[in-house]
Amino acid sequence: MKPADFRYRRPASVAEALRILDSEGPGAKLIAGGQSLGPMLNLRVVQPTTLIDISALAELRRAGVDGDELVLGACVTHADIEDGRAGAELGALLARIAGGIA
Amino acid sequence: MSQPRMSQGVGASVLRKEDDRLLRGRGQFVGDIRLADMHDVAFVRSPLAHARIRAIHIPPAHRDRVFIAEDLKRVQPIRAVSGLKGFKPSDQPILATGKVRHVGELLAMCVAPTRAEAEDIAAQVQVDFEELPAVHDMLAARRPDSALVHEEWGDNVFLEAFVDIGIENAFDAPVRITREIATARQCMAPIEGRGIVAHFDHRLDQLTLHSSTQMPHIVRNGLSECLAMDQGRVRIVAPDVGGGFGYKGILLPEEVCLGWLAMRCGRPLRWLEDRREHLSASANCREHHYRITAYADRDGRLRGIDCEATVDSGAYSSYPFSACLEAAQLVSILLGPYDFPAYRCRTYSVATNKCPVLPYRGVARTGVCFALELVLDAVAREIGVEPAELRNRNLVRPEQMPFDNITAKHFDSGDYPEALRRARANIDLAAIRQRQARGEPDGRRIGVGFSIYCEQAAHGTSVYAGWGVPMVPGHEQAQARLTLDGGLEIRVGVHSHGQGLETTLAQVAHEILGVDVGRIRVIHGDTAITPYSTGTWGSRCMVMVGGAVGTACRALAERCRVIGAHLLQAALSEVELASGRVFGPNGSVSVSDVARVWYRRPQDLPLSVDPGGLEVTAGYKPERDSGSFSYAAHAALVAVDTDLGEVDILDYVIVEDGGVLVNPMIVDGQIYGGFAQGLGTALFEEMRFDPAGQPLSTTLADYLLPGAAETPAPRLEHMETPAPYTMFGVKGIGEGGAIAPPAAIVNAINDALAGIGVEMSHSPVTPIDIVRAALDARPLRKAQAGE
Repeated sequence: MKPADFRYRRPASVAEALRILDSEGPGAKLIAGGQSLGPMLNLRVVQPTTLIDISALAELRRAGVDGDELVLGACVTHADIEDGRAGAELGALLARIAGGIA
Repeated sequence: MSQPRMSQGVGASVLRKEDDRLLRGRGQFVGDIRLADMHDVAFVRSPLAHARIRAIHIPPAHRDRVFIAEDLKRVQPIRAVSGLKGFKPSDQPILATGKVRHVGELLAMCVAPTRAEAEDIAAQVQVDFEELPAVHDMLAARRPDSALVHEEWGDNVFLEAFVDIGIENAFDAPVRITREIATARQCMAPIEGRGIVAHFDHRLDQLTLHSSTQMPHIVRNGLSECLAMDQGRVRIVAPDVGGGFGYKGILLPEEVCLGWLAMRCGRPLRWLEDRREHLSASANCREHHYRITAYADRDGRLRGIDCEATVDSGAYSSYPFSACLEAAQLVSILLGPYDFPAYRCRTYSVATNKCPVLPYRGVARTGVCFALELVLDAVAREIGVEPAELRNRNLVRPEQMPFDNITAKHFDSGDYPEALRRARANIDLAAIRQRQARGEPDGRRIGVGFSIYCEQAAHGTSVYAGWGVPMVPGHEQAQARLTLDGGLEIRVGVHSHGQGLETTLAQVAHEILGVDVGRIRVIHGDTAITPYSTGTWGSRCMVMVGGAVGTACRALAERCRVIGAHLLQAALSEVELASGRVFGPNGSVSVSDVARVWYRRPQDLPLSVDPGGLEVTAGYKPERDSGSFSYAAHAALVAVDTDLGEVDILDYVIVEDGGVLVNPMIVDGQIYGGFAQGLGTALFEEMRFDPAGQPLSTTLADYLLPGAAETPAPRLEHMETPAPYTMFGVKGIGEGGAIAPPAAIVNAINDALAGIGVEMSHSPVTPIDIVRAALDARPLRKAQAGE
């Protein structure tokens, strides 16, 4: 990796993440798995002043059915869905689709 | 798959020895090398395709960390001249001087403890340019009013070549079909890009350059010439290399830069190509244009081919293959596996403001096969004959073998019509025609396409001497050494980066000496410890190096026999070596026993023993070096959705003949991999440029490669016609899988769309191309329907 310099923050709660996002302004970027952002940072296509790593936020790993809505947290990975870690109520269809995502 | 002959020898599907480390993630690539005090290099590259350099501004604080052309005292440019008459050489500067001629050309190198810091410095280097009109289109480049890539030439043509073999005899043919056919510029896209680690060893007085290359000895030649160093002071190490495909068959200016700078700054240096550099700066391939006419009789007898072909060679002649290899090969192989009585071809190797081209797996053959096979289908449609039948009537027949075609290619052996017959039967052409007549319930259109080629492989001195490029292969050498404990070390100058040579060359040695494959180490990739070689290219390794390993092992076997006979107190004529033992009339000794005596108990050796001992370096060249000719027939069945432009490959059959296969499993893998690349050429891959010469496919989101979901498993069928001139009857086959798929798939698309008057004549055929062509064809269909 050879990104341009950035500050790195790893908040412990969604509330803290929102506070950082608010205080850092438009130069901040959120990173979860980094599948898209990682190569862009490496090629310096994006040069954020601050990277806010939300991968530690358990609140965002929740998945489940809420009424007639399926809610997938921002940190639920394709692998979580494929391997059933995101909960059985997601069903086989989503697991199969997630397995087809590279 | 053919039946294994021995458990480990020639013909056995031995599991790949190298996979133990590679599949466990323990491979050692350039990017894995960590030397103490190593710094990283980042390059300032040209953002423009064609411009004069007015000034380069280096921030004063970084002046000792940034190097430009005027710092490179006594460094020579890269010069790859062809001996072909009329070739215009280009000097490729190591760092740009005066002008930049393609986007990504090197302007300055910046060194820092990390790559990120080096990139920070590079971002602060400012260059003043005077932009010049870019030469971005190879056909426009030939016009007299075109801008000039190399002003001193007076035009943009590296080389124009011409051959006319009785074309006037074809002019009275009743069928004459002309097509313009083009193949896109591509990038070879191995998983690992280029990478270099350079350092100077003062004890050895030697520059060691670790490089991700297919040809370490050729890099050593070129590097020592550019740096004006004695060869002995230059060592090239190619560790594990993550795929080559031709992309790593070049001397890079980056290699010269790192070598020079490592000596100057006295510390190890590293540069690892990133994917943007890979896609936009280093080298591309495959961009051909054909204006091709086929002459035929009404009964399908082919009478001649007349062609004008243009190859976009990019800005510089790359080392060692030169800017003309692609077109020189094109003109010599355009007639494919057919028996044509007349031929004319003019080729232009054109300079443009794009990065240089390199020969990609299949070299010109993929484009040639595409052009010829598409025009043959057009002929078949014109005269109303089944395309496979048209081919069958014109292929060189087995009873003509060995066959010299009118361009003096010597087809060594094989049964081309049989390969086609099997492909036709296997894909079940008759059933497909019935299914087409019924139509598809989902409204898609299905089509079948064939293509067939023969592939000259391991062509040697007689071919390359004629082209006069900086690298002419001669004899290939290998060293075989029995160790004290009865193991065997094989040293070869080629490099294995996916071919499985660490396994297959061990199988060759096992075939002769009987040493267990697990105890044979194939050592490659280091100029300090391997025999000289032009490297891995042209499907040459199993023919050339397999032959060299076989020759060295046979010599070693003879020495074992002499010592063994003495130990057995038998006459030499009474003993023979088999399965790793020397057998005499009254007993046997193992090759290990022989080795133990040579190393530990020389007092027991015969007085007449060969003092060369148990290590032999031997050379090899086939009886004829004009190349072995493997061949294959491909058949594709596709379904085309003209509303969405989607092409679905329903079935794909490959019938190939690679002569005797040393390891059928590895050959299957080669064919699968080549097929995936051929599929990329057919449907996905294209380096696009805008009129200013800016590459537009600079990430893998823009440059589409086929993935697992897009790549069906082809069905393989093997034939085996032993090559008459090579050891064991092997033929080179590494490139073949990538040659025929574009032609077979696009012929299948054209077969599917013939009913609506659509014919594709370029690669890749993308969904938008199909949708547009189908829409354009609509008025025609309405008119035909009388609406």
